[in-house]
Amino acid sequence: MGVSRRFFVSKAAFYISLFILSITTVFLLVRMMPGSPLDYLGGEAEDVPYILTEEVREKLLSYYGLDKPLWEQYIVFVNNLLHLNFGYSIYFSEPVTRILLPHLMRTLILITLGFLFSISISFPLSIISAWRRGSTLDTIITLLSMSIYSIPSFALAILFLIVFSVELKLFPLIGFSAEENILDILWYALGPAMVFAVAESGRAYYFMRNSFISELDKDYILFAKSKGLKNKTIILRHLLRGSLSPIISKLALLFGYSLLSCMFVENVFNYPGITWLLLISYEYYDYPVLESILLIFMFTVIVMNAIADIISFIIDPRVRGGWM
Amino acid sequence: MDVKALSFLGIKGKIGLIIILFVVFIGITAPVISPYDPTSLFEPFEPPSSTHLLGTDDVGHDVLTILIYGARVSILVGFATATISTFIGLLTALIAGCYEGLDPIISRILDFFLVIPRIPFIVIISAFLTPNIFIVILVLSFFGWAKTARVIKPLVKQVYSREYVKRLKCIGAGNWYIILRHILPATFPLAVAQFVLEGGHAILAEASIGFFGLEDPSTLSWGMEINHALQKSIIFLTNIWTWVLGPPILMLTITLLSTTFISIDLETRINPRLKVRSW
Amino acid sequence: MMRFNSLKTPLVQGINLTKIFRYGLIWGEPVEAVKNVNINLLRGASLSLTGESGSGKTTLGKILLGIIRPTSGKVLFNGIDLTNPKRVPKYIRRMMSYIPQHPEEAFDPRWRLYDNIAEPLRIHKLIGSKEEEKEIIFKLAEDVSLDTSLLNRRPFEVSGGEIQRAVIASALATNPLFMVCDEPTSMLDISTQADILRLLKNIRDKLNISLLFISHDIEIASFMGFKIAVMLKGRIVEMADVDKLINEPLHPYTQGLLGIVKVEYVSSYAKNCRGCPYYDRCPVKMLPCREKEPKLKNVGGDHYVACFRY
Ligand SMILES: Nc1ncnc2c1ncn2[C@@H]1O[C@H](COP(=O)(O)OP(=O)(O)OP(=O)(O)O)[C@@H](O)[C@H]1O
Ligand SMILES: [Mg+2]
Repeated sequence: MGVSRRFFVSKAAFYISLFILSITTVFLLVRMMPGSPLDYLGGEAEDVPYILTEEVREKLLSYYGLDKPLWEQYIVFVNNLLHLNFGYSIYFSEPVTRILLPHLMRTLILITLGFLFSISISFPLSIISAWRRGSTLDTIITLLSMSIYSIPSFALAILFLIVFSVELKLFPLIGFSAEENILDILWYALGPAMVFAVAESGRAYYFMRNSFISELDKDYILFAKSKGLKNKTIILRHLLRGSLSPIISKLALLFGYSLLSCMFVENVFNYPGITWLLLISYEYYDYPVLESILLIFMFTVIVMNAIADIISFIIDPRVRGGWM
Repeated sequence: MDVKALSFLGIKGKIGLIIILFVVFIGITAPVISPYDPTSLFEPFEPPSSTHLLGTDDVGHDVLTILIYGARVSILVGFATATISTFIGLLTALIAGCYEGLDPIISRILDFFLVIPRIPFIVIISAFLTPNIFIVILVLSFFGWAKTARVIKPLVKQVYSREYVKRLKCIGAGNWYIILRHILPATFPLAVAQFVLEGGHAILAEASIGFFGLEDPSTLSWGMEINHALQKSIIFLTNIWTWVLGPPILMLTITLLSTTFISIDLETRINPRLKVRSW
Repeated sequence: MMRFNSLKTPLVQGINLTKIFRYGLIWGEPVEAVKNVNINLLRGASLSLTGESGSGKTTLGKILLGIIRPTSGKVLFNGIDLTNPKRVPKYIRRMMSYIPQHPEEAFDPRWRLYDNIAEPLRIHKLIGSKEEEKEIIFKLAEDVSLDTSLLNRRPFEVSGGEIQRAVIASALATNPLFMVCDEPTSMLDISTQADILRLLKNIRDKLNISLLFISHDIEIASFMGFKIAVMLKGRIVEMADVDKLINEPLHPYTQGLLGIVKVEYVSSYAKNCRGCPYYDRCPVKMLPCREKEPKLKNVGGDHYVACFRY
């Protein structure tokens, strides 16, 4: 299998260069932002009781390595990344991982919950409407999912807040409790996760329906139908197996992007996830945190792309030829 | 397949087109039809009445006026972004599809653009320049063209490998002649569908930027209006949200719905397999 | 006769042409679609290519037109190397035309037949006014007996025979010197086939075109050509004047095509074997055929054959 080794090697080379490129882009964009993290350590912010003297300022700069020229900072940055060291938060005065992980966990809980909800809604619906394509049911479901797909997710979130928190008072208006009890965390994630699920299910439904339809049009399914196989057998044995590879790889991609698409929901719910951290670190020029978050975003998308590639390579021998 | 794709739209497409034309009309005639000047201020949080049909918002703008001027921003951003990114994307797709030697490197560039997370980067970029709508348009186009190129490229390749193109090259047609006269018309319906889609994306993205409060504060957009409203949690204590939050969200949703309707209609026309039909 | 007043130097000259297709970048064995073919076409002379499906006829035709770049070898058209497409001047292209294997693929489906036929003229800016163009197109349509009322239709709105005529009309529009006809009749019924063949023959004789006529059917090939070449797995295995080849075919494969000898049925052929390409099916194979490939050689009277028995 020298051939598939070459496939993997060249794919890996491509993804590695993608990693390097994204690291560089993130680094340059963030470090070149006008303004400095020390602006907010000085007199303006209320909770900082001291004034930064020029001397202290320089000390701090050299402490954080920010007095060096950009290319030296870059080398340090990359070197740290290679050792899985994400640096030290300037604003929070703590290692970035300590700050980042709890927020990332919260976000992951949200999107995993939401993703599970969304698939369990859209998967059966898409099979039903692909199977009975053109029926009234299909038309209604499709129109509905198109409408949901068009509504911006922050609008859905606001709607949810108004209905469930303001009018019915079922869910909390504020996104987190002080206690770190797992049940509490789940409870606060539930509302945003439901909104997120609804917002994502429109997209998931639409592409799953399309993959099922193109699979249903293939000759072997028509053949199976003409043989008089039971619908259930056809769906389970042929339809699902045939369309699994495009669906799984697309789902992997969607999951990668959901880290981004959940930003709006998190923001409306004031959810203490990665979005909150992103906006804070952006506001206070907390370079290490900001860079780490952006890299996490890009890496997830890249990794999910790679996984989608690998999945379709393993499941579907057809992509092996002519993949360029 | 593609010959008649654009000659008429289905019922979904027609509804979408009417709505979008309505929004365009509002946007263009904003100074004429809006009841007040967008800068004039009144009492904040006045409920709807005969003087203020949709009430006033937190700083005292007339909501209807803001709504009408917001249509202008949305339509401008959507149209301009879609135009720029469809143009660049189409051009890239044509070049990558017709010049085999350039395809691998262009594909790699596209792959890179497709992993850039749009919103976080706009957040960062807004640190460099305050995003007035022209910068928003540029940034959104910068992130949008790769998708268009990615979608159109396979079709270009397919048409370019057709026998009639080979025949024309053999009898002396230049590459650009073939691209302009044969490949461009063949990809045109798909490019239009992509244009509408990209327009919708841009309108949503612009609203999102406004929603995060990153736009130039003087911009009168639906997203900014939602952002301002959300900052005052008082609106949820009474029914103020019904007139300061409801209308911009509704307008945004309707506009996005119409672009989705049009693009899905076009898509099923270009790719008839997806068309709703019984068998 | 026409044959004798043609110029001595060949119009189209293929030297040592080889084309190897590779599938994707890494998968699949390479396929030798054309291998070590030498071919000369004099001005006004025509040559028929025949051979089984997949023997590389279309590929050879496209190489000679400069549509496909050969893996090695050269194509000279009037002394100009076509394998270097950038160096080919446009006026040279005007002298060529191509009728692809599938006529319905030969035209842009979005364009009316009229525009499709006129396109070569427009590319080379050979006509001044719209009226002149119309006149020429109608004349062309008449030449190929195409009903002029069909000119306003699009390619998918006319029948196979009609579109074939339109393709021929378009191919003739620039008064070419060299024309490749790839199986122009394979999709048609017998009587239309005969019509089209007669039409092509008349045109060729009237306009003194060098015609490369491709057909998998040796009967049709012999109807058209002065000379006929038989291809097998990318090689030319026999080439001679039509009468000679039909009356006394030498290569066992040609004999098989003509139905003179019975051919063994072989369920699968060896792909790229070292020996004779016909080895596994040959009824009269000998020992050396397995190891060495016979070269194409002249056995007298311009009759070439690649077989160890001659
Ligand atoms: N673009 C291509 N890529 C890869 N292989 C090709 C390509 N074109 C042709 N081939 C292969 O080259 C060989 C010769 O093909 P070609 O089309 O020249 O045969 P042919 O003699 O014209 O057959 P037919 O009578 O069926 O038209 C075949 O094995 C074919 O599979
Ligand atoms: Mg052929």
